[in-house]
Amino acid sequence: MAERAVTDLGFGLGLRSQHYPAILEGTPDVDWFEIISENYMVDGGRPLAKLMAIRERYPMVMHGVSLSIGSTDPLNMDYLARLKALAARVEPAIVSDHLCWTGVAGLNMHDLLPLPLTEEALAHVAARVDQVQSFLGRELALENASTYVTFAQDAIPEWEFLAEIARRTGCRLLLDVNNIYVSAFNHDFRAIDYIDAIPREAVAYIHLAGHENNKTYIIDTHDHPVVGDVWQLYAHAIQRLGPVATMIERDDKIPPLEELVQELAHARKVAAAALKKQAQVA
Amino acid sequence: MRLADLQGAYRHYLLTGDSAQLAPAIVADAFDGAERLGIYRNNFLVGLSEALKANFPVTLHLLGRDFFEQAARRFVLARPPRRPCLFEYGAEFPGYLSDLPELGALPYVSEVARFEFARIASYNAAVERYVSPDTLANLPPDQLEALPIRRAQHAQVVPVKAPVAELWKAHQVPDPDLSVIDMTARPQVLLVCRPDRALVVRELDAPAAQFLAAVQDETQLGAAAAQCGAEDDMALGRIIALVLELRLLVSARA
Ligand SMILES: [Fe+2]
Repeated sequence: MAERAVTDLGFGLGLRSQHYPAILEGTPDVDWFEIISENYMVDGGRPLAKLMAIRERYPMVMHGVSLSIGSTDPLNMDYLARLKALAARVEPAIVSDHLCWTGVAGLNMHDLLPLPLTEEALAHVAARVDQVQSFLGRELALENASTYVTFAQDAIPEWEFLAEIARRTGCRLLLDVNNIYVSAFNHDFRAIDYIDAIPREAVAYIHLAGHENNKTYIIDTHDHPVVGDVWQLYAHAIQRLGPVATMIERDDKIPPLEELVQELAHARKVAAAALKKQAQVA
Repeated sequence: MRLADLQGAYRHYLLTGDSAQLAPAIVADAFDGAERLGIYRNNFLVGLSEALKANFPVTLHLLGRDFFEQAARRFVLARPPRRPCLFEYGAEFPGYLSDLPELGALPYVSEVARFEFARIASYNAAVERYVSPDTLANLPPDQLEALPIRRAQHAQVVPVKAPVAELWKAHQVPDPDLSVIDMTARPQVLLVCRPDRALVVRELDAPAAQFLAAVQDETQLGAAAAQCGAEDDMALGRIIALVLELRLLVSARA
């Protein structure tokens, strides 16, 4: 299958095992799939067979949750070797993970923990991104996670932190518009300022997801359809960035594939309208 | 605070709930630091409890949601995960359950948990180069005995006393009727394996169980055959047929 630049992939969905039959037996209107890398770090068996059957028909992106790029533990080389082996199999358009850490002193908490936004953390993460990219022999994309705390020592806004890592390492960014919205609400900054500060050429692709708003703070649950405010923010992002590969992430309360395909069709419309508006302004 | 110290304090908080070190590093506004940190601790505990529920669905049903969740949270704090993949989490959970005094009267629960984790381990095990009928047929008889062999990674052996396979099977439909299961203890050795893509479960007779115990670490075919206590060549033949059919052996020379 000829590969396109990751930015041109079109509109995708997160691959979930519940949807394997619908994907393999039908022709859903989905341009590409993003897989959770750790779910396929196996050396055989049924999950991998299904994955490769779907890979034969669709471009893929690999998205991880256990890289722990911000941890002060040494990089887990065994994990990286498994990631590299999976990438050799799947030949993804790009490999991504999160700007976060997931454990220290040998633990992996399986939660995306927040980093203090300091010069020390910036230098630490940038050095590790360099290490990971040279080990994998390819670019990494880093995603902004939803956060619920800020640290007293924070010295750099998150958008500048991400832009600077991209500048220093040449890595790409995975912009999660929902996470920007959630963090903006929780920490009282303007989501639009965040998007406007992201360097256009660094953005590899966009995540859209839903969340639950309990009115005092927002917990990112990825178990709802995308909300109206996030669609508006997405339209703003596309107007500013131009066409960017976009996908919908649903991690919990997973509906039938058809429902997500419809939501994805809405994303196509929002993006098309935003591009039209951009052309009129230009 | 240096990044390493901050992460150490964070780890301590997640595992203990004691935020004395960490909370001062967090910005307080309408919510204080401890309240915001609570979101992370909750995500950590709920996320991993849910992962255990996914890995141990029958155990969950047997224990009931409330008890399972309590036990899972205590387990997460006592044995937090170290590995990067969630499907690998919980190898020690069956042992943890068997040590819980509250479960003293229900020893079969931890056996079911052990069986469930064996299924996951088998399902996700590496594909290896298995000893095939051809491997054996092509060897000169004098080399057969010295053939180096070990058990394939997908071959999981689970000794149990309760009717674990029956309990598991009964749970493959909604609202299982457990009253039809004879719960009389009957020691047996179960084999869980994945010869191709699907899992296979078999009850092993004593010689087959001893043979598979003998090949857990690398040995020679002749030595394993001598240790298995097969009474005659026919009994040994049955074991060899089983390990070939289910691809239970790996050889450096296969
Ligand atoms: Fe995301």
